[in-house]
Parts: sequence; structure tokens; C-alpha cells
Amino acid sequence: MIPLVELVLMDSSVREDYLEAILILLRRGRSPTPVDIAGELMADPAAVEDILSALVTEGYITRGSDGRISLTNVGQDLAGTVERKHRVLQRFFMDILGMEHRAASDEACQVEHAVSDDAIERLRHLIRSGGECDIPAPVCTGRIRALPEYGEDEPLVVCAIIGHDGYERLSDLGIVPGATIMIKRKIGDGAILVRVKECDIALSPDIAGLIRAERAPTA
Amino acid sequence: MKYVLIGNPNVGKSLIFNHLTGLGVEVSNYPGTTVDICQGSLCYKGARLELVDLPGVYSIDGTGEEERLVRDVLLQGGDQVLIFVADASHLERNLYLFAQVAEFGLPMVLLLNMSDEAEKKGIFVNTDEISRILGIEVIPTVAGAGRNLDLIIPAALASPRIPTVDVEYDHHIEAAERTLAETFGVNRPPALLALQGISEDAGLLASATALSREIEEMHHMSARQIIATNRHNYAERIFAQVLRRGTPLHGTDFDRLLTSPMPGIPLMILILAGILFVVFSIGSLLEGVIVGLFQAPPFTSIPWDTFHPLVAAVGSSVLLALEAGIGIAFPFVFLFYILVSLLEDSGYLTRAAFLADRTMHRFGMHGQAIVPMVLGLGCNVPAVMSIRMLATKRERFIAAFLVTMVPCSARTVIIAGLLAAFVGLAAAFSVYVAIFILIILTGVLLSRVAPGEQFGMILEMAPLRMPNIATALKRSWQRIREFLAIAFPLLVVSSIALGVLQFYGAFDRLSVFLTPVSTGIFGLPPYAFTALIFGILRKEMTLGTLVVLAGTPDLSSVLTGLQLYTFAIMSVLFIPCISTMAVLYRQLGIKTVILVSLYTIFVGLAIAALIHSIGIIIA
Repeated sequence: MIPLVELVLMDSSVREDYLEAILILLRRGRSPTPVDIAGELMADPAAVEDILSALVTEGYITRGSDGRISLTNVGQDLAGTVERKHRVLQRFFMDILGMEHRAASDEACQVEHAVSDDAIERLRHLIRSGGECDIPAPVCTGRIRALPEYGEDEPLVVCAIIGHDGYERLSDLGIVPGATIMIKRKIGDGAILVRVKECDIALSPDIAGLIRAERAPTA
Repeated sequence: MKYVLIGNPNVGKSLIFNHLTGLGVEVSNYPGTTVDICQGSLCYKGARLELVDLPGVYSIDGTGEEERLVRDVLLQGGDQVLIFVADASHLERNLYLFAQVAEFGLPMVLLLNMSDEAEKKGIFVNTDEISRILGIEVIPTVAGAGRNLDLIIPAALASPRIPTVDVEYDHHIEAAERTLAETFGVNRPPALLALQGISEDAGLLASATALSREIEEMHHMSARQIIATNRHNYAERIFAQVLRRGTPLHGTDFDRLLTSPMPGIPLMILILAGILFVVFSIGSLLEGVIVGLFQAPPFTSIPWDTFHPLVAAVGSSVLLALEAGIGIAFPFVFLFYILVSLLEDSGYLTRAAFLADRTMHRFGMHGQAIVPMVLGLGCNVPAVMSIRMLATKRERFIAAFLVTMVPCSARTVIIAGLLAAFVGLAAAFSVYVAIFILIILTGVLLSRVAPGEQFGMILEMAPLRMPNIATALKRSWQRIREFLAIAFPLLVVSSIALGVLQFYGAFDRLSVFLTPVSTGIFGLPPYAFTALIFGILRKEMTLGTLVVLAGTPDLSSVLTGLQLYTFAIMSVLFIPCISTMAVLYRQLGIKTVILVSLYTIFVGLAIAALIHSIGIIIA
């Protein structure tokens, strides 16, 4: 049994990291064991055991007879909030600041414990509004531009489609992030004829402008 | 047991349907939509089979009317065998829809149509291999040449099997789908649809929306996009396994000519002007013949004076309606249908839409709208019917207004008969200019106020091919039958109503009542309004009625140039004819018909009043 003093001193960031890890493991489909958690957090199993007991006392988690762990409602709420903060921050670091995936995730792990709910809401809004800043998807690594900025007969890779609500037909015709496409014909700043999966698709300039692409890497 | 043809647009589905069913085809409106669904039956070895042709779609996970219809049919499950028609030359893209449809677990047969065109492109599909992978019978066909079409029904009868598809979905999607499936007791297709925001079940939809929002945050892509990507990857994988690439045959690149501004745009103008020319010349010729028939025995020798005068009024009104209906239907509408069918089948219309997109944007529409707008110059009826090609309700709504304002050949007759004949060519020409300015203004105005969001054009170029005249004739015949069925009852009823009103002297009384208005505001004799009202039956009748009421064919002896000009522009703008309103009602509903009528009446009267007052001031 750990002394009460230690419990009080348990850093809120440690608590949040544990709850978040448990949530992620639960999402993968099974109730985690302390060993799973230690693996996820790369922590010493003995220390994990102590902290889990503290979390049970605090009422965030429960442990089954087989030692497997589940979240209480309070634990679920806290874990969900932290995880959401993590995701918003990571997207912000990647999409807007242009950081690389791993670094963005590490950075988010640090900031997620300190950032306020209000700041997260504002960041979320900024990312969602999209229009102002380019949103490169993880598939792209090169210079990303709007489709109409490219010329004819150049192999391109789709990176993202801005504001994808209402343009489901693009997905159905194969214009999805990661797809290879090519501009076949362009009339001034008017409509664009795109070749995708051996089919030619005519796009209005307003639609073509929503498609972000980069040059296909030369084989 | 029902046999259902399903597939992408432009894969030759209708051709196969027509080939299999013969003439006993019924085109019905799917309840609550403007989408047509073709139903026919055929006899095979003494048994009657029911065959349904669904509209071509790219996906069933959409909110469009066609997609909803196809989805509803699939969700019914039960006694159906699906005959999936794929375009072999675009097989990869077609397999995307196949993957969606196959997940419904209905017995299927797969047709690889246009296998000849695929081979020309160097795409050879290993039929045995794809049949093995999908676990269903696969038949390579060439619908245009009728090749292997006789194998379809035997295969669909003897060996329809449930296909095996194994789309590898993203694990978050899989997990979400499993959660939904377990919680709500649904199988895969409804669960995946719900994740994409499509479900009738509010509880399922709410849970699915929460899950897909989470997925979207994790992936930076919507659930819809992820699912689509997974299916495209599946299609790519299967296609790679069954493809044997050969050398493509190189021919002239017609497409390059048709889609480049030079010579594409002059060519487009030439083609569209050619159609108009054919309809104007042959159409007016035929119309003359048909109208001539009505003004000769036996019709002229009907002894109307021996009947009760009311009976005579009704009888001659019915004749008048028949004359108006047949005079429009066969020369103009039928001819147009044939030409448009040919053009549609050739794949050219999509090229024209691509070229015209930018111009059409100014009217709040997209490239596809070029077709109804140009057709309108010939006859508004087929033009309004072709509005259905437009993608959104908003565009169809805007097009309905603009198309009905386009001066059709009948209105050209009025302009020519009133102005070119009595006032001068420049005056006649100025009416066209004025109307086109009004159309542009209306377009700009409507693009601001029309309900719905403006969606851009996303249009697949249909493959260029030689159109089949027999199919075009058959389809035109179906459409003209549809037109006659809607327009004739309306024509007869309104003609009788006008005839009876006239019999009881309603127009004389109206004239008395209108005199201050017509002379005061428009400077016109009151009988001009009677002529205007009869023009609703058939626009040219405005001219004929005016001549009769004026008592002389030399209109310049009773009306001044200003009066002729005012009347011409008023009657051209004033309310479309009954036939146009009938098809408009069919396409967009009664509300649009009322709005269009009110708008055109208002514009017609307002412009006429304006011209009259300007004329007075100048004089």
C-alpha cells in the first residue's frame, strides 16, 4: 500500500498519461493488463503497479479479478478529454506548423496536460476552418499546391481535399488523398480535365481549387 | 424473382436492357423523385422474366436521388439477381462500385461490356481469373455489336452466385462497423452507410456520427473518404490481378480536338447550330404539313353550324388542342429527341459541357447547362426535359427559369410575323438582344437568390463512340410517348376551357374590363390580350388569333410600329406554352411552374409597359 502523501503528490500529467494509455489500449479491443500499460508507456512495471493502485483509490479505474483494467465514468471522461487535446495539438503541429509526425506527437504529449479547454476549442476551430491555411495530409512530403497551379500532362499525387463535405463524388471517382492523377486539359483559368484511373473527369475551377496535390515522385 | 441491371453511367446498360427486353418497356417515375426507372419483361424458354434497369451511378453511398434509389433497391434484398454491367475499358473504376454492391450479398452475374474498346486501349481482362476471384460468373460482352448478349439471361438464371469481396477497411472503420453491427443488430452495408451519415435509424445514425467524428480527427480524412480509399485500393488490387496489358492501338486523338478551345469551341458552335438548323428547317416544314392537314378535309368539312353552338365550341377546341399538340410533338420534340439521343450516345455532350463551363458559371450554372439553353432556341419542351441532366436541384431550378425565357422557334415566328414583316429586321433583332439581356440578368439574379449551395461540375467524359440510330429512335419514341401522355390531357382541358369561356363571351367582357389597362399602360387594343391568352396553348397561335381578332392579315394597318413592338416582346416573354409547363411540372413540380409563370408574366408585362412609356416619351 502506498502512503497517502504520495497519492496527493501524484502529478496530474502522470495520471492523464496513464488514463490516456488505458483508453487507447481499450480501443484496440481488450481490457489491458498492467504489463500492457507498462509496454505502452515504456515504464517500469513495478512503478505502473503503484500508480494503478492509486488510480483505483482515486476512482478513475477499476480492476477485475483477473487484474485487467477498465475505466470508470470519471476516468473515461478525463481520458477522453486528454486524448482529444492530444489529437488537436498534433494536427496543429503537423498541419499548420508543418512539423513531422513523430515530433508533433511528442510535443503534443507535453503540451496536452497544460493547455486549457478554451485554447483547444480555438485551435480546433482554426484547423477546421481550413480555408486560410493549406492542410497537407500525411501522404504528402513535397511542395503542396492547389491543382489549378499545375500544368498539363504532369503526374501528380493528391494530398488533400479541402472542405470535403458535399464533394463525395470526387471520392467515388477516385480523387482521394494518395491517388495519382494528371491534368489532361486546362482552358485558361476555366474548367480542368483530369485523368484518374484511366477515366477523364471535367472539374469546375472552383472544385479543382479544393484539391491539393504535389508532383508525383519520379520513379 | 427480379433481374436488375446495375452499373456506372455510360457503360452500355440501357443498350443491353433494350436488347434484352424489346419494346414492352415501361418508364416509371420512382416515388418522390424525378428519376426514371425502366422496367421490362422478356420471355425465356416459355417463362416471363422481369428486368429492371437502374439509373447509372458511381456510388451508392451518396445523397443524390439516383444513388438513393439504387441503394433502396439493394436494401430490399430478397428475390433479386443483380446483373452488374462494367465497362471493361474502365474496369478499375467500375470495380469500386462493384465492391459496394457486392457487400449486400445478393446473387450476381458480372458483364465486362465494351471489351472491344478495352482491347483497343490495350486492356485485356483475364475473365477466368476475375470470375475465380469474385466467385461469380463473368461474361465479356460488346453490347453495340450484340456480342454474347444471348449468354446473359441463361447465366443469370442458371448460376447467379453471391460474390466474395474482401475490402480491407481501415482498422478504425472495421472497429466502428463492428461496434455498430453488434449494438444495433445490422449487417455490414447499413453500418458502413451509417458511418457515412446515411441511415433512416436515428439511433444508429447518432452513434455512427459520433464514431466517424472520432475517426475523422484521427485520420485527417472523413470516414467517407477513408472507406472510399479502401474500396479503391481493393479495386486496384483486383484489377492488377486480372489485367494483361497489351499494346494500345493508336488512332487520331479526337478527344484532343474536341476539348481544346481551338478547334473545340468553333466545332461546338457548329454542332449546336447544326442541330438548331435541322430542327428549324425540317421541323417547320413538318409542322406546316401537319397544321395543313388540320386545315383541310375532313376537318374543314365538319358542319359545326348544325351542332348545338356549345358542342361546336367544345368540339373545335378539342381539334385545336390536337393540332397544337401534334404540331409541336412530332416536328420539334421528336426530332430534337432523336438528335439529342444521338449526341448523348456519341459522348459529345460531356465535351461541350467541359468547354462551356466557364460561360455557364456566370448564370449560376455549370457546363452541362449549355445543352438545355441551346435546345431552348428550337423548342422549350425538349430543353426543359434535358434539365434533368443537371446535377443539383438548384441548377435545375435556375435552368427552368432561363430555358423557358429562351425564344423558341414558335416565338421566332411571332417576332418574324410581327416585326420583321411590318416594322423591320433591326427591330426584330433588337427583341432577341433584349431577351438575351433579360436572360443574363435573370441568371445573375437567380444565382444569388436560388436556394441550395452552388456545387461545381464534376463530370466524367463519356467515351466517344458511334451512336446507334435504332437505340436513339427507340428512346426518343419512349420519351415522346411520355410527353404526349403529360401534355395532351392538359392541352385538351385548357383548350376546351378557353373555347367555353369564349362561347360565353368571357373574352369580350374581359376586353371591356381590360380596356383602360391595355390602352393606358400598354397602348394596345384589348383584343391583344385575348390573343396573348390563346398563345398559351401554342405560342404561334398568338399571331393567328391576333390576325383573326384584328380582322385583317395586314396588321400594320390597325397597329402602329410601337404597338407591334410592345406586343411582340410581351408575347415572347409572357408565360411559356402549356406543353412546356407540363414537362416543367413533371421535372420540378408545381411550385416551380407557378413561380416561372408568375415571373414570366411579370417580366413580360413590365417590359411591355416600359417600352410603351419610352415610346410615348420619344414620340
